Formats: sequence, structure tokens, C-alpha cells
Amino acid sequence: MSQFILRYGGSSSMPEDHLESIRTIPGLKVIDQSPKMLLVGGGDESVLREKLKDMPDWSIHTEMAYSLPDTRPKIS
Amino acid sequence: MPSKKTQYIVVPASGLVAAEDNPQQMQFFQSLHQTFSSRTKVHRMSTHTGLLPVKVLDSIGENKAKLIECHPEDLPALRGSHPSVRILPVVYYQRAVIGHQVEARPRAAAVRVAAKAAAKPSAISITILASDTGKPVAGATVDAFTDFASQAGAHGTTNARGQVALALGGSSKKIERLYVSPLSGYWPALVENITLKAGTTVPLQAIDLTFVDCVRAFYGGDDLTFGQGVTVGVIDCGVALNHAGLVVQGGQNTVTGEKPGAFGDNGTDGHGTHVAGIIASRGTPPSGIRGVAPGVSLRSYRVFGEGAQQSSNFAIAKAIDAAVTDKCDLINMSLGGGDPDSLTADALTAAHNAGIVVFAANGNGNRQAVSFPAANSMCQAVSAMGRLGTFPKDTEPIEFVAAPFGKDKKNFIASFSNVGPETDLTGPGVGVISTIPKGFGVMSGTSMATPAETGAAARLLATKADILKMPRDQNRASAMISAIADACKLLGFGATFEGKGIISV
Repeated sequence: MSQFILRYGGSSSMPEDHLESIRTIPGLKVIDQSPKMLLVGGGDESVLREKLKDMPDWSIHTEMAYSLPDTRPKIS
Repeated sequence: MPSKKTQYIVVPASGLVAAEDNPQQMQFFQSLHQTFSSRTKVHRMSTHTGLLPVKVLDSIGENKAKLIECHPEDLPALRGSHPSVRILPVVYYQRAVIGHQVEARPRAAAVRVAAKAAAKPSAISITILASDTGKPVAGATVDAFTDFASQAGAHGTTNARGQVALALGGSSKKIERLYVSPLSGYWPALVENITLKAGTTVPLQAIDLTFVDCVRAFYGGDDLTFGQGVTVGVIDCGVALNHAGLVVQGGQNTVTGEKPGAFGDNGTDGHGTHVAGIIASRGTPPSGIRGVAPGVSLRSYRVFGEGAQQSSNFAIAKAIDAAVTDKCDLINMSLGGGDPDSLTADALTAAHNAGIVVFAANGNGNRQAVSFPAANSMCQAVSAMGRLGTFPKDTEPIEFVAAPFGKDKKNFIASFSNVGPETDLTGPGVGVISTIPKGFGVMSGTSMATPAETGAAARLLATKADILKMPRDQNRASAMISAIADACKLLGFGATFEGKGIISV
């Protein structure tokens, strides 16, 4: 399973019962977190998505990479 | 000549339904809905440049999304004058049909050439020297292109004696383009059509900190209070905390596994320190350099790990959230590329709703479409321009001179700059002198143009106490964007190249 980011869109802090429910997904690991987000990996993606259907304030996003724009031509 | 009219979707800055607690926004959507029901369907939208005709082709409901048609070059004025709405391009989807292609077998001759190339060629040693003192320049990256179009050639880094051995084969080699990028203290050089042989020397021009580069040409002045009262967050690869010209008030490292307090430079090329210096450097020439808004409160949000060239959207969204918590007024994001990313888009909307304006780099794809996140309507997307006479001859910036030129023929849009209807502003970004961790360096890019405009916006907003005092919500962000739009000056490149123009302060 790829790494996903779960973002909480509610106005309060992330509800403890929601966090508990996410953490109990078999094989899922919380790799990092911030006040509004969880970076998770492992576990079954379909189980995670199914669980989030009952938690409308959460959105799920794929982890992506950004780079710094460079003007230097490179030798291949 | 105006370009072909294009369809766009108009939705509120946040969500899909106009907010009831925002009467201005509600009225705007209702008036578009009325126009849709009218015979002509043409709405004259007010902008800071006057009334612009827009055709309303469809409306989901009185307070919901509208389908409009207008000229792409009118978009910057419409976006600048109506910051509480998003004007998005219509996206068309198609079936994901997998195509099959037959790949031609490599020809035998091509295979022989490849095998020959695999043998290690002999090296030609050249020396890089300072043009004024003749001293060797160590740590400079040298790229020698024998064929620029196919990116063929050799590269290396100079040693303590300024020497680099380039694996070019033979005792002399004709080079189409030779780039020399010093670590610090010198202008990067570009030499075209040179024959390299053992003992060839290439001189580099030392940076004179009193030199008027393109940033100083547009944003001169040495008042240390410029930008005072405005907090600017730089989301980048960290800012050197021990540079004499920079005062970093705080920040956060949002990279997974790294210490939150480690928001200094990440040990790559000093990009974040260069960006920060363009905004806020407090030095005085000839020993230092002055940024566009040295009075700002500067914060560093490091999203690139130690020595890393890539950052994750988790680190970026976390940094945007942190800048919101820290009550930044402006955010600078000189990064981007790749597909649109819903997480960063959500964080940008949250920042807008918290009264923050985000500036993002158009990208350096040589006239490609504006990169994400700059292309997101919550960002002020910045293209890069240059000005003849603001870099020494025989230095790298000369290769970025390209059409279109402005009303003042010395001004041009840099050849590397991405452009498109999402462009909001243009800024000076060719041959920019600024701070780097070990002194001062020259860089070019939309990465440099963006902080020039962030700094200019800070200078401007520092004089608008009434806006800065507003409650931190989307109305504050809208008021800031409107003030910026009012201060813009068109340079004559055309809207897709310059948006509303350059912030004139």
C-alpha cells in the first residue's frame, strides 16, 4: 500500500475516537502527524477508504513529491 | 489581437455555494444568475481596469457555480478584482484507453556507438579563475555540452586549485556551451563555441554587491523599515540562520523524521536562503545586500529534508498549516511542478480563509503551462522577467533574454518562465544577487521572481494598516489581493505573460 495523507477538515482538533478508529485498521501505521493531518502507510487501502466514509470531515490524499524549479541545463 | 474566448467555471473561493454570511459574494453570484436568465447573457464585470464583458453560458443555481466565457487575457483583471471567487478552467475527461506502440529495434550502428561510449574517455583538465585576482575558484560546477540539444557532454566540480577534469575524450574538444556555476562570490558564466584543451582557463566575474541587478532596478531604496509589521513565511529548503544579513524570527521543519526546530538551510544549494534574502536581507552594500522588504518578520518553513531535492505534499501542507497558526500575512512558495494535488489545494484554501496571500512560482519549463501550485486559483502565480543592462556581459543570464519585450524594450520575459492565463504577476528573476549560506550568489528563475513580488507586496501592505488589522478571514485575503492588483503596473508583455503586471511600490 502507498502512503496516504488523511486531512481533518473540522474546526476542532482531530477527534480522539476518529484517531482510535483509524489506528485500529490492521497493518496500518501512522508515520507522522500534525494538528490536522496523519501520514499513514500499510494496511488495506479499501478498509481505510471504507472507514473514512463514516467520517465526513476527513479527506484522503495520495502522497506526492515536489521539487525546486531549476534553470540549469543538465548533461544526461 | 485578443485571443479566442474560452470557457471557465466561477465558484466561491471556498466550497461550491456562495456563503450567506458574505453578502458581497452572494450578490455577485445572484447578479451572474440574473444575467444568465437575460436575453444577451452578457455581464459587464467590474475590474480595476474597467468593465469587462463576460458571457454567462450556464448557472447551476442562484448561489451556485456559473459557466462563463471570456478572453483568457481578461482573467488576471477578473481574478484580481474578485478575489472571493475562483475562476477555473473547464476540464474535459476522456476514456483511459491504453494504446500500444511498437518500439523500433536499435540499429546495429547505434549499438556500436553506445558500446564505444561506454569506454571511459580521456579527460581534459581546465581551470576556473577569478577574472580580477586570477585566484582559482574552488567548488564551481562545470557543465561542458558538446551537443546541447542531445544533452551530451561532460561535467565536474573544480578542486582547490580551480581545476576540473572533463571526460570529453581526445586532447581538445569543441564545446557548444560551457556553463560554470560557482558556489558563491561570482557570476555564473556561459561561454559558447569554445575549444577546450589542457590548460584552458575560464574567468569568472566577482559579484559586486553595489551592482544594480534586476531586483534592485525595480525595487531600489535602502529603508530598513520597508515591510515592517508584515510577517512572511518562506516555504522552501530552509534559511541559513547564521547569515549576517538575515534575521529569521522562527519557523518549523515539517519533514517527517526531522527535528521541528531544524528550519535552517538543508545543505543543498542555498535556494531557500537566496529566496529569503530577496525578500528580507538587511545588509548594506558593499559588504551586504538589501532585500525588497527588509523590515518584515521572516519565518522559515523547511519542507526539504537534509540534502534532499524533493519534498512531499504532506510536509508542504503541514508547513502551510503552520504558517496559518503562526499568523503569517504572506507565504512564498518558490517550488512546484507535477500534477495538481488535492491536499496542497485544501491547505491553500485554508490559508486564504485565514487571511493569508500565497505567492507561487510559475515554474521554469521554458514556456510550458503554469505549474501547480501556482496554477491553483488561491495562489498569486508569478512569471519571471529580466532587464537588459542588469547583468554583466558573458554571464549566464544572457541566455535567458527572449521575446516578448515590454513597452520599455530593455524588459523581457525570461526564456525559462512558464506562462499562461493563470499568471497573476511578473517579477524580476534573471541574474538576481542574494544571500546564500556561505555569502552571496547569483541565481535566476521564477523562484527568484516570486520572492521579489512577495517582498513588494509586503512593502505595499505595510502601508495599509486598515487591511492588516482586519479579522483573519477570506475578506482580509481578498482585500490584500485587491490592494496588490491596484498597485500593479503593466509592462506591455501581454496578460498570459505578466498577468496584472509588476507590483509597483
